[in-house]
Amino acid sequence: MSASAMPLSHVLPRAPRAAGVPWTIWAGVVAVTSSMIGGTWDVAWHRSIGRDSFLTPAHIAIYACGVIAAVVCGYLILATTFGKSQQLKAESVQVLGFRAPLGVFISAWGGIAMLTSAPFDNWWHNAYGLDVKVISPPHTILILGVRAVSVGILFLTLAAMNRIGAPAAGQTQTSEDARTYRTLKALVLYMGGIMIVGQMFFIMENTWDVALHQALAYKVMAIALPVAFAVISRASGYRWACTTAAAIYTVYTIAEILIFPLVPASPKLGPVFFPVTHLVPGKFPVLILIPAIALDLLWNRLRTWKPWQIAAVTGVVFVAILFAVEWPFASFLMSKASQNRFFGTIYFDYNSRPDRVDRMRVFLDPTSGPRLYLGLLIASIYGSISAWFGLRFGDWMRGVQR
Amino acid sequence: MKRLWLLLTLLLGVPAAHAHLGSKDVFQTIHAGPYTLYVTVRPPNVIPGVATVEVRSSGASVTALSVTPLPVTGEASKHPPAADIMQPSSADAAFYTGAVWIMGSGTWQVRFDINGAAGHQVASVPVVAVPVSTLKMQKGMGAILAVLGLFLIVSMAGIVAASFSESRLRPGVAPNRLAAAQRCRRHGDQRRRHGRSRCARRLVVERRSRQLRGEHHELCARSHHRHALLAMSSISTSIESPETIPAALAPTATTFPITAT
Repeated sequence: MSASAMPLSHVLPRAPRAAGVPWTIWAGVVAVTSSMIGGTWDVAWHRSIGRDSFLTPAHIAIYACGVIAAVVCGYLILATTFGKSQQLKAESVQVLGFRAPLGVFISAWGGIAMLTSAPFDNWWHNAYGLDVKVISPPHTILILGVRAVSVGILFLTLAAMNRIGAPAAGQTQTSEDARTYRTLKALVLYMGGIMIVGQMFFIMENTWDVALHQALAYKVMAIALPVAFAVISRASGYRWACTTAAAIYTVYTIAEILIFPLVPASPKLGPVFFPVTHLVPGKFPVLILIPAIALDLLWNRLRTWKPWQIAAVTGVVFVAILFAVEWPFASFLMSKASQNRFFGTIYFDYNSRPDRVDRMRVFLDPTSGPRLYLGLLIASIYGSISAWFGLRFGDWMRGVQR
Repeated sequence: MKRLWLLLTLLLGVPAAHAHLGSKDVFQTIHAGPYTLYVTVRPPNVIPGVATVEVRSSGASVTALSVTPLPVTGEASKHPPAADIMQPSSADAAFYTGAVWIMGSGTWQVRFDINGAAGHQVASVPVVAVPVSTLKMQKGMGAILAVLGLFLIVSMAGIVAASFSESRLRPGVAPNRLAAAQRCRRHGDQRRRHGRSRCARRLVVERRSRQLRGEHHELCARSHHRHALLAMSSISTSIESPETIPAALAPTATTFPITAT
């Protein structure tokens, strides 16, 4: 039915008022958190125990994300498409004949991608052997699915926040609205932090501490991070959004280093080159917190600039500050001073060979001289392009209402 | 010549024979103290993969049997991974089955820890692990993955379309893309200034306001923001639900009076 043929009350209903954060958003946030913990746990499992099965605790945490997302998406799609609630219909978009909020469809897409990855992964194991790498084609689809669920929940939360944040004329804000708005904004920032954790997870193999004297590590981070920071900053509208998200990543990763070694574990696969007696945590977090603070300060000052101008400056600032803090810090991580429970450079995989750079605590093929400068220049360009996409997409997300 | 014909006749008369060539499986008899084990190890076709192990015990009675893989030489041969308990058959208590994960090509040993009435013994069987095949995708599996992949592409296209057509509209505002697009062509400057989606959204509302008020001649002459404010102030006194039109006219996500962040 076109707008002109519809009665006015159907075309422009009174904007619904906030009534607290819906349970669907809370459930979605729990799902995304579960997948984040599950993913980290699974990597630690493979590094310390090696062998897994369908029902390891880590896998259950990842699958729980899919199950919870399926319940939330299924409920919202059915209730919106076939239910009688005018409010749900008014806050929905149409995809393939069904109606639901946009974020629900994105999450559902992620769930189907996760489902698709399962038989593909099974076939992959039979064809090419058991997992030895994080980034295999079926794992990429699985990670893409998990990330889509996360982005979908972010959209669902953001739309609810935007509806309250841009109130209809004639409506007055109540304290309940303000409280709900603040909660939704906090959830958006929290999921921004999860997004940063996810980005760093995906590029983990290129940002291992022994690889941080390679230009490649900075190129990869310049591609993956500015876009995420810009999206979080613009979509949330919070002046310290990047700092908050980077702090969540930093605290989460340090917590992993402190907690995982408390859990007993022993290898069930050979060859065993390093006797392991507990879960092996990840590496110490990359110091992205510092460039994140710089980006917040920068973007707060450049509000009147055009996006491409901001992006051009962002790429250079991000790479320069990241390089300035991480390069010497990586040298510290190679030293004996970092070999303790906090910095975690004493933990190695069970299959870590004694002659491997990780065990020897030396850098892997470090870049130097003109190649390094050229690499950093390229990283800055990547960072600018990445930031431009993030700024534009973040601005667009700020207007999402459904 | 006769002998040659006879030989050829005999050769042609011999039925086809079958032979087992190039088997990767290992069959070995182990004598470990008083225990005797008849061991079969079937390495996987792909590496890394799972090798199956079958053992038939003889001699002294075996009460528990565990198995673990480790390289024959080198540092890793000193650190065996946690052993797996082999399961006895329900039909034959002396027959055990188990599995070991072979994670790399090379020469391995499958080590057995034997416990029984005659005490504890350890024995090993050498196993060569090499990948011998690459599995082709079955047609059924390929079809399922193709359908799921196609659905993912189509549904993603639908999501992208919905993102640009509806997701930024105020709740309840119906999209009318054709009218909005036509209107946008007449307002090229506004479209360039405000972006397509915002212009389209505003124009849907403009048309609705013109229909209600019956006056539209001034709209084109006014600036975009000023027009919106005029429409808000005038419509609010002439329609049934005065607060609904301003709800749609209000710019989205530009101001928020609750918290300044």
